[in-house]
Amino acid sequence: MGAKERREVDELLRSVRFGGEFHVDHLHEPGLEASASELHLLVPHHGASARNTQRDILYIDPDVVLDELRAHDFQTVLRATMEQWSAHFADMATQLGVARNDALTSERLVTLESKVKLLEARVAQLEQRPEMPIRHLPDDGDPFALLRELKTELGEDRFRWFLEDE
Amino acid sequence: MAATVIRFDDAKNPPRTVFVDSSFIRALIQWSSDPGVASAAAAHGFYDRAKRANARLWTTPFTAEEILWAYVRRALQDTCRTYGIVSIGDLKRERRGDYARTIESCRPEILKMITALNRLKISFEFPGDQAAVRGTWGQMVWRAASQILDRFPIETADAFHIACATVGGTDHIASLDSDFREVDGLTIYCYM
Repeated sequence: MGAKERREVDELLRSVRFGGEFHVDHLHEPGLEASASELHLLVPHHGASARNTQRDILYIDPDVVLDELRAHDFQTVLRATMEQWSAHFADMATQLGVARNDALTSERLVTLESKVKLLEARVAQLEQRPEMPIRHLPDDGDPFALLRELKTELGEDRFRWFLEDE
Repeated sequence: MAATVIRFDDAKNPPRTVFVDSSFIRALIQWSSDPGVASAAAAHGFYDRAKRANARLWTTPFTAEEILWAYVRRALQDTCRTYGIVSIGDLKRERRGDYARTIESCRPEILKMITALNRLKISFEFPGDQAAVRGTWGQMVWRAASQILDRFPIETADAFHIACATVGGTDHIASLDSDFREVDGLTIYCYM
């Protein structure tokens, strides 16, 4: 692999990598393997065979990505890769019992009107001045205590220097 | 037409945002040590009601500087007297070491006063400090102060305070200084 090609691959990997290796040792559905093999983006870890179904790490082989890049344009490969990862995450969430958000329907899409309503509600909430966040700040005691302490330190005369007008 | 004037005692419902000047803060400092002084008590009453109503009290850092400089100036004047020097300017020129030592000796009290001022929960900021977008705030203050000085017979420092307040979106000013009353469009909260 040449230097230019390596750079391209590095750039692509930076785009699709999710902070390092992704453990998928609990993902063994037949459908998942099929979809993975379609893109040839799943290869085994630690030098194991590509046919090894006991793969424990999901990562992207630069050489395979390069092949994909030769065959398709960058956006196609990237989109396909992201879809692949998205499917993996969805399956993993299902297996882990994590509730998954439904796709946004038109009703759930935040429209301009609903944004305005939210802002109006927020303004109405802020208008309730006693409930503004500052009311919940911890009370740090008497705000004048330090001034009294300073007066004790300085004495009456010197403390009054602060009170002199221009 | 002059400013609208409201006495501290009559301001039962303080505005949401008030610009305070150095005379108001001095009155609060005075109240801390001498709550019997009527003007200080009135200022503190207004301050207390404003804080309870979650009003925002703010001013510029220059207001704090006026209070801090008064202390340092007095210390320098004492040093001048010690050496029979007439002015601080002369002290600076003729006895630079004593000038510097005097300023240095004020540092602990100045730092403590800065902390005490922060405890009052009065925001020291310039107009536009909390703005979501970048603006030409300095130029706006400069123009506003120029217009105020052109129209009203007030001190330059007061003109710049008012300019900062109005550019910062506040025309409510708490002050024990009667000069602000000259400027129409303002609402002045005062002692008398």
